[in-house]
Amino acid sequence: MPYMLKKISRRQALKIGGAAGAALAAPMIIPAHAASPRLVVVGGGAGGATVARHVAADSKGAVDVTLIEANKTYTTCFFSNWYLGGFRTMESITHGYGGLEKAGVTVMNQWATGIDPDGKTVTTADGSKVGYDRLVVAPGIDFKFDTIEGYDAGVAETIPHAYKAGPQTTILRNQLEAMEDGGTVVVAPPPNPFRCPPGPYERISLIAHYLKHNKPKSKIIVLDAKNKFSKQGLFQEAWATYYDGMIEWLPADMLGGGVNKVDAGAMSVSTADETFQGDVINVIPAQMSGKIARDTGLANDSGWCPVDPESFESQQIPNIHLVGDSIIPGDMPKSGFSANSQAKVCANAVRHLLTDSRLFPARFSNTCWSLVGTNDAVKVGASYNVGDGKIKKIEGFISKTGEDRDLRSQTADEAIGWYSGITADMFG
Amino acid sequence: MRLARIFVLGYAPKNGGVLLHCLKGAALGGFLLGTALTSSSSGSLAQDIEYGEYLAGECTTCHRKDGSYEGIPSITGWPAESFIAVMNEYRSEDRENPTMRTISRRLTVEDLEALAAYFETLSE
Repeated sequence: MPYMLKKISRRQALKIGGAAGAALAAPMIIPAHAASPRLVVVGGGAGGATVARHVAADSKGAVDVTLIEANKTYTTCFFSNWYLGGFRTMESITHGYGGLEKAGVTVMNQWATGIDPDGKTVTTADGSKVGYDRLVVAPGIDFKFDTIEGYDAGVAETIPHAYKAGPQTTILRNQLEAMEDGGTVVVAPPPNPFRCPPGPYERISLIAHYLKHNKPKSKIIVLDAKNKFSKQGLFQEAWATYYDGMIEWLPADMLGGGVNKVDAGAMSVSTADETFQGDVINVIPAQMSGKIARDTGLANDSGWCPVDPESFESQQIPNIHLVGDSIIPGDMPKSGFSANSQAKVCANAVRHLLTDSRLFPARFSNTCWSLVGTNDAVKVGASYNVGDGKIKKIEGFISKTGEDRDLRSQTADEAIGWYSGITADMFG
Repeated sequence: MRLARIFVLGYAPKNGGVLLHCLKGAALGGFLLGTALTSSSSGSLAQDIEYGEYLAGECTTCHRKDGSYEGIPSITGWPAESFIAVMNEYRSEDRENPTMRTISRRLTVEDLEALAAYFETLSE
């Protein structure tokens, strides 16, 4: 991976490997109340990595920061559709944690298996217990597999969701490459709320782009669990412009609801009213907060985690903060940009609580870019502050249908620039 | 405090992103004309670098702090006056990028001065 080679020196790589090896050999017991106040972050995505890196860098050693993340690299969900469409390599959307270590973060490549809020410890899969003074949990999403009969993590190896980026995304891309020209791709977007509201529709656009240039007789059938979707007019304009006749979008009302059954053997999916065959099937199930948040009692009955909108401290359990897709984010959508924005407010609040550093007012922003064709992107975004006890939208914007090609091309360049910016902000 | 509002000659406001990039060159090249804009920035946070650094978190999601250009122009090391002038032009819709218009409109004068002061301290 070029990025890894560029960003992590051989000495740093050996250091990472050595730490992992030691962890395997003997479980660590790391005491709470070390010399510096301890911040532990669980989950190294757009929310967690940003909190960890910013607290470590900004506190200049005054806070002892540990990131517990199961994987040694992180593949961003954002831009994974660009990989599916052939616009990006998997390597270009995969990042290491060397930049966090450089900022002073201790990175533990372990599964966090449990949290003890009373003892203020996190337990990892190797039996280590890591003490904290403040904990940030950023586990992202899990899927409600039980809402679709016949679908689980095992079946997802055949019928991928590809909504946690990495191997799942590669499975979907490989299936598209293996499909005969004239085949049918079925895509089933999830019900609200879910990660990255425009994501399934950018995916449909970029799968269509791939098919148009490689398998032009093929079709995409969209079995939507909803009757409307983010940037709908913009996507449907692009589908008519670039992929006319290739995409058939069927809303929930025409289907008797979204997909509720999968038959991997027959390569079919069913709604209440109808069964559809596919040569490639991409089912994106309903979602909820990540397992460790639910297991710890950080989620409420909705399956998502309520937080204070200024400090991001859990409304369920003190001393634990959450950011990113797992929270109930007020008016913000669940997105990598949102998670990164929330994380910087959370980092300021946590650092203040641990070291009495200056506390500044919470403010947020989000923009979601979507590529719809070659050099053609659209965007939607907004600014937010705290009001009425939640994250509240101040002002928003959205691309317009009929925009000229120069502007769309500039928006695509902007998307590329944003990817570079946010990943630098997350990973250093 | 009185701030100089700076007008840039010869720009085409279609592309806010590239414009910023061009403006940097223009600013450094001395192609700027200034007229006075009275500011009410007497608050304690005006030109507060630490506050500016916090606010900059909103900028560095897109604008790389190291100043490199990969689709979104650098704002690292910008002269504070140029920074304020450009943001004012987004706020008044003399520049077109809707993301930047939205960002600029919720900044107070204090916010803007703190941000400008912070980015001026950074070097590429």
